[in-house]
Amino acid sequence: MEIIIGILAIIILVLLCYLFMLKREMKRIGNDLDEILKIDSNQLLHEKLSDRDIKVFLKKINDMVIRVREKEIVLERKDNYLQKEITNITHDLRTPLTSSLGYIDLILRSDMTKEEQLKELKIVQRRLIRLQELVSSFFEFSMVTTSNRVVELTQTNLVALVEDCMSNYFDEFMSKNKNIDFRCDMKKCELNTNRDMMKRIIDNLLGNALKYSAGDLTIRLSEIKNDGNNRLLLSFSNDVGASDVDVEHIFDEFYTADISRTKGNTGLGLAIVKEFTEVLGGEIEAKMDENKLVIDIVFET
Amino acid sequence: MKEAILRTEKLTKKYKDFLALDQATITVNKGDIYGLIGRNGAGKTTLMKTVTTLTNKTSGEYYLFGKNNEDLTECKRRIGCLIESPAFFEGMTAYQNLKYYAIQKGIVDKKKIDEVLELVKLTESKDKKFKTFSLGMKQRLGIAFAMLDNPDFVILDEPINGLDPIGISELRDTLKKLNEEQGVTMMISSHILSELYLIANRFCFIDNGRIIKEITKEELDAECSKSIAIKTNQVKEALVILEKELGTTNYKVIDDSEIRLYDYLDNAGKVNKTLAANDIDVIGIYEAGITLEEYFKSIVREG
Amino acid sequence: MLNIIKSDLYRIFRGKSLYIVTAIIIFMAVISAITLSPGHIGVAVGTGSTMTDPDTVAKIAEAKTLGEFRDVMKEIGTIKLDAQIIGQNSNLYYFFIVFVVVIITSDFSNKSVKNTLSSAISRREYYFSKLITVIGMGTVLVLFNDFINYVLNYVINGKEFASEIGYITKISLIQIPVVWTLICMLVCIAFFVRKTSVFNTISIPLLMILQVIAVILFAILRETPKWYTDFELQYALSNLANEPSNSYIIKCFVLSTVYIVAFVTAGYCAFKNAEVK
Repeated sequence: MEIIIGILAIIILVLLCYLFMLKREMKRIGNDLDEILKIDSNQLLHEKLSDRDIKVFLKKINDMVIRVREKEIVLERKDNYLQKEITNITHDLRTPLTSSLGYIDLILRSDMTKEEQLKELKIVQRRLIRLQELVSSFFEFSMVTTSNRVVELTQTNLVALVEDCMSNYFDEFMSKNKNIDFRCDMKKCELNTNRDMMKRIIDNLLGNALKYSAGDLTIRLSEIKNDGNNRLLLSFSNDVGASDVDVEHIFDEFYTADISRTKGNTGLGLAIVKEFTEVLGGEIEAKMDENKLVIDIVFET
Repeated sequence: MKEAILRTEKLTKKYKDFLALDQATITVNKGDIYGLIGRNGAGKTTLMKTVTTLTNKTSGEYYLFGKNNEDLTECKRRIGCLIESPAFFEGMTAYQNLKYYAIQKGIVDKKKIDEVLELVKLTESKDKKFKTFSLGMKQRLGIAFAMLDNPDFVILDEPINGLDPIGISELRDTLKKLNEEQGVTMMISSHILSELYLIANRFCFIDNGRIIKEITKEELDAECSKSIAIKTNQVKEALVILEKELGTTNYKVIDDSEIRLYDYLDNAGKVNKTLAANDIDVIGIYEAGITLEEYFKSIVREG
Repeated sequence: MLNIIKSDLYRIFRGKSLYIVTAIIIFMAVISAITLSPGHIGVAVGTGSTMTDPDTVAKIAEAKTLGEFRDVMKEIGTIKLDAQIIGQNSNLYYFFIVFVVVIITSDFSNKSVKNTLSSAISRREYYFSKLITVIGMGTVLVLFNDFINYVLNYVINGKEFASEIGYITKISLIQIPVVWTLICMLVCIAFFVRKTSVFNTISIPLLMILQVIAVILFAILRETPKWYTDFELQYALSNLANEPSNSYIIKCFVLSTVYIVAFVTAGYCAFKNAEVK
C-alpha cells in the first residue's frame, strides 16, 4: 500500500518539476525573443529544454524572425535604390528645363529674325514636351505603386488605337531610319478595356523600341482561338543588335539597358507597361528570339 | 557611431616567462572585416584565444559586444570561431559532428547543418568520416562550424591554411557575401598579406605580442601607393613649382627633404626637367611605392 | 546543461563503445550464472564466499566437468549468487573508465573542447554536464548489471540460488553512493590531467594499487585493519551486498557524500582556470 502511495508521490513530484521547468523555459524564450528583436543580430531562438512541441514552436518563431529580417533587408535596399533614382530623375527634369530657359533667354536678349526665333521656339517646345513626358512618367510611377485604383472599362478598338499611336511616333522613327511594321488581319478589334491605360502601354512600348531598337519594329495583333477561350495577342518585336537585354529584369522599375542613362530614360516605361497590363487583366512576357526582343501581351476577350 | 563588436584595452597574456600579448589595444567595429597580420608566433592566435575565453588574460580588459567578465558567457553565443587547427571527432562523419554541436548549442532547425555544409561546399562529403578528410576539407568543416549558429562575429584563425586556390577564392566570395548581406563582422588572421588585402577593410599588424599598427584599407593604399619620390633641400620652392608649372596638388610632404608626388607617375623625367629648369636642386628622383610585404617588413622593423 | 548531456548521449549512441560494454556485461552475467562463480573480470574481493567448508571444497575439486560442478553446487544448497555477483561490482570500475574516456578525456585529447568552450557554455556548465552524464551512464550500467544478473541467475540456476527482488533492489540502491564516489574520483582525475593517455595510465592501475596497499598492510600489520575492510571502496561494495546493517549503510552513505563533494570540488577547481591547449 505504502509502495503505491510512494510511487504516486514520486510521479507527482516529477510532474511538478517538469511543469516548473516548462514555465521557466517559456519565460526564457520570451526574454530571448525580446533581446533578439532589440539588437541588430542574426541570432535565432535556441532550445534549452528538450520538448518536442516547444521545439516546433521555436522553429516557427525563428522562421518568422528570418522573414522579418529579409523584409528589412529588402526594404533598406529599395530605400537606397529609390534615393538614388530620385536624384537621377531630378537631374533628368532639370536638364530640359534649364536648356529651355537658356533658349528663351537667348531669344529675349539677342536680335533675331522671325524665322530664327521660330526655330529656337520650336526647340524649346520640343524640350518642354520632353519634360512633360518625364513628369507624366513620374506621375504614373507613383500611380503604379499605389494599389487602389478604379479602372473604367469601355469598348475600345485596338486596331485604331495602335494606328493612332503609331502615327504620333512616325516622325521620330523616320528620323532614325526605322520602320514600324503593323501586321494585323482585322479591320476592327474590340476589347473591353481602359483606353487611356492601353494608350499608355502602346506608347511606352513604341517609345522603348524607338530608343533601343537597332532596326525596325514589328507590331502584331492577332486572335488566338484556344479551346473555348478567345485571346488577343499584341506583340512588339524589334532587333536589339548587340545590346545586352536582361529579359528577367526588363520590367523592373528603374531597369534600363543603358546604364549611363545618357538617353534620358527613367527606366519606368516598361514597368508601367507591365503594371497596366496586369491591372487590365492581361499577361505580359518578354523573351529573346535570336537578336530580337519580343514582348507579348495577351488579353482574354 | 559604429558599434564596437570587440574592444581590447591593454590586453596582456603571459605564459610563464613568455609574453605572448603585450598591452594589446584594438577595436573591431560592426561590419568590419578585420585583418590580423603577423608572423608565426606573433600573438594572433593568443589574442583570439583570449577574447573567446579559451585562455585567461593576465591583465587588461576586453569587451565583446560591450560586455565583459560575467556577462560574457551569453554574448559568446553570437560568436562563431575557428581557432588553430579544426578539431572534431574522428569517428563521426562531418554531418554527425555538426549535429553534435547543433544539439549542444540548442539549434532548433537541423536544416541549418545542411545549409552551412552547402556554404563551404562540403555537401558531397557530409557522410564521410572526419578522419578521412584532407587538410582542406577539415579546414572547411571548421569554417562551417563557425557559421553554424548564425553568428554576428566570426573569428577565423588562418582560414585559408590548406585550401587550394579555388577554395581560397570561394571562401573569399562566401565571406564577402556574408559580410555584405548579413552584416556579419569578421576578424581574420593570416600571415599571407596579399590574400587578406583582397577582403579586409581594416588591418592590424602585430609582432612579438605588440600591436604595431591599426590601419584602414584606404590608409594602407595611400601608404603603399606608387609615387615619385623627389629628394631636395628646397621642398617649399619645389612645391610651388609643382603647383604652378606642373599643375598638380596631388603630393605629400614626407619630411624637409622629401616629397611624394602621386601624379606624373609615368613621366618622372618631365618632373625632373621642370624642377631643374626652375633652379630647384634635385638631389634624387625615383619611383617609390611598395608592395604589401615591403610595407609589413618596414613597420615590423620600426616597431 | 541538458543540451550538452543530450549531445553527448547522441555521440555515445552513435559510437561502438556503449554496445560493446553492454555485450560484455551480458556475456559476463551469463558466464557467472552458468559457472556459478562470481568474479567478473577482476579479482574476487572480500567476503561473500562460502567456500570454506573442507568437504565442500573437496567435492568441488573432484568435479571434472562444468556439468558435474553445477550438480555439486546445487547439492550444497542455496548461495545467493546474484547478491555475490553484485558484491563484485567494483570490477565495473573499468567500464567507468571507458565512459570517462569517451565522454571527457577524448574531448580534451581531440582538442574539440575548444569548440564547446568558445561558445555560450561556461566552464561550470561544461564540468557539471559531463559529470552528470558520466554518473548517469555509470548508474544505469550498474543497475543494468545487477538486474541482468538477477534475471539470468533466476532463469539459469533456479529460485534456490536467487535472492528476492526486494533484496536485490535494496542492495543495488545502497551501492549507488559508493559507485558515485568511484565515478567522481575518475572524473576528478580526468579534469586534472585532461589527456586520455595520462588518465589511462593513472586510473587503470589505481584499483590494483589499492589492492596492493591491502597486501602491504596485511604484510606489515599481519592483518588487514578493520577500517580498511570496512571502508575501502571495493570492500565497501561487497560488504553492502552482503546483508549489511543499517548503521553500516548510513556510515557508507556519509563517507560517500564527503568523498563526492571533495572530488567534485577538486575537479572543478582544477579545471576552472586551466589552459585549453
